[in-house]
Amino acid sequence: MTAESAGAAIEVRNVSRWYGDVVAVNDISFSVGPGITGLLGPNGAGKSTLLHIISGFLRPSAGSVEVHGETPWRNPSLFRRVGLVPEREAVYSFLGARGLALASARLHGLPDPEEAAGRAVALVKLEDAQDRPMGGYSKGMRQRAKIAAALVHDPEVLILDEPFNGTDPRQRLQLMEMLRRRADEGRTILFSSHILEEVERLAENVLVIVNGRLAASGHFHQIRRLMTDRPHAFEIRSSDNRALAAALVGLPHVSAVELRDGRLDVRTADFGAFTAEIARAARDCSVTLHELRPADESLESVFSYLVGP
Amino acid sequence: MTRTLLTLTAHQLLGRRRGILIALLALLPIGIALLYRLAGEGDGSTQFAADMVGGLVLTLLLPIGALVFGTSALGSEIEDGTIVYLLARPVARWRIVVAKAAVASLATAALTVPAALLTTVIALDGLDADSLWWGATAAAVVGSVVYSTLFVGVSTITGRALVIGLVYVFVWEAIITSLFEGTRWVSVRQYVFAVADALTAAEPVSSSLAASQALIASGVVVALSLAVGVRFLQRFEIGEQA
Repeated sequence: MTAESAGAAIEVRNVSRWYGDVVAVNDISFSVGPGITGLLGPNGAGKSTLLHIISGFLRPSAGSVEVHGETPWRNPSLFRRVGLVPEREAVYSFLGARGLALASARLHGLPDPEEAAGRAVALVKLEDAQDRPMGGYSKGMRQRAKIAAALVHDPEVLILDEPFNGTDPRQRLQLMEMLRRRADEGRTILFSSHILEEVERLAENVLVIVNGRLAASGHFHQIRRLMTDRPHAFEIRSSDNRALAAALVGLPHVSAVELRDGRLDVRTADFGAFTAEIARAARDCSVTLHELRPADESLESVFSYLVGP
Repeated sequence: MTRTLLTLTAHQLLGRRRGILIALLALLPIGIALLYRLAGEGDGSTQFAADMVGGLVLTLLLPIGALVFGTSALGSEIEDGTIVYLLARPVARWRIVVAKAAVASLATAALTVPAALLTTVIALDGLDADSLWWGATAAAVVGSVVYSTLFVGVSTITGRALVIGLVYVFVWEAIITSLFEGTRWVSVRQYVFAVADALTAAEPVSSSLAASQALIASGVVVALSLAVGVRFLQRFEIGEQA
């Protein structure tokens, strides 16, 4: 995707947002067209800030945003075309899912709010609990109620901030299926997640954001390849670290071996080949492996790798 | 659309325990007036009725009720993040603020008007010739609107609206305005007493402000408070945790 993509519903150009000395979003540009786009990044990366800017709930400190050619900041009429599902869990606890959807439909001035609310609640499959106060809902049910309220006016653009938080696997599948159907109808869906697998299962296009910067963007498979091809680090404890180091240093995909504090630190370019060969290498030099542990495999480190040095 | 805003706000305010406690407070002056009558202490003492209405209803119950309802109507939604469900809709921001202020004013009036009227009627054994009942009732209505709208406005500019409101009522209005005459222009309590004074011939009720001055000042406070609230919502920025 490029900023000049034709038919883009969302255009973000050189957007930055800072709070005092803290830069939450740093010079980000991208465009989002019809279909499902996932905004992926670790917690605190700036995903919510970016979604709030796109939905008009934050003013960018620099740069510009357009949704269907209109600036979202101080433009409530844009919500006729946009639906927003905020991350925050708070809901009107005295309303049921249907009540929330109905209130939304009325605030949108829809001609038949009752019908619209019923349809939205059915989309998220909450009919059974639709009249129970949301104060007694589980987290997953609240998420679905929030999504129903955002869908009630059938928006062209749907923005969801961590929509699958608290949902069980079955609910997640149902929601994903519903979002896919909407995307197939030509809607634009932008959702954020810090969970790689969620994005992998749902999004065709991915924007990876780390430390407020756009680390990568494009088709999911390209991003995935970048992530798996990165160097991997392992920590090993064995009966003879020195002998094992001598054996491992000869493996073609091992790029570094270091003896440190009674353990062996190894870096390899090929995760799969290394884990397949380590046992044989140890056996060949008569070394017993006590511990083999991938080091620094957190999502944050994966994202940091994508950002580069 | 407006009805939905009113209904949502009413649900929020009336479901709160604080509102129930305030309602119990409203029974206090009525109860004291009843005891006064039952004890046969007086035969319709205007001084006693004026003290009850002025000292309890208009200077205590009215500002506290308005403070509770006014700061909750919009402030609690901003605090807990549910305001997003209103703002993420194509609704003019002035509608939201006016609806919030209207419901807070109605809730405060529903509390203070019966308290003012019943206290007077019970203490004076009916509708008195000096129209104290009318002065007290009208003052409660005007005070409900001005105080509530003021506190709705304050709740949009600070998360500590309740504390600021208490300081305003019990320090500024109770102490400062009694020490410095010029500050009466920025005291809603003074507007309320000016309205009461203008509508009753009862001697104990007096004010240094003319009713016309009080009504103009009230209008200015209401307009400014609404403007502050609308401006805040138009420029509302969601917090990082919202």
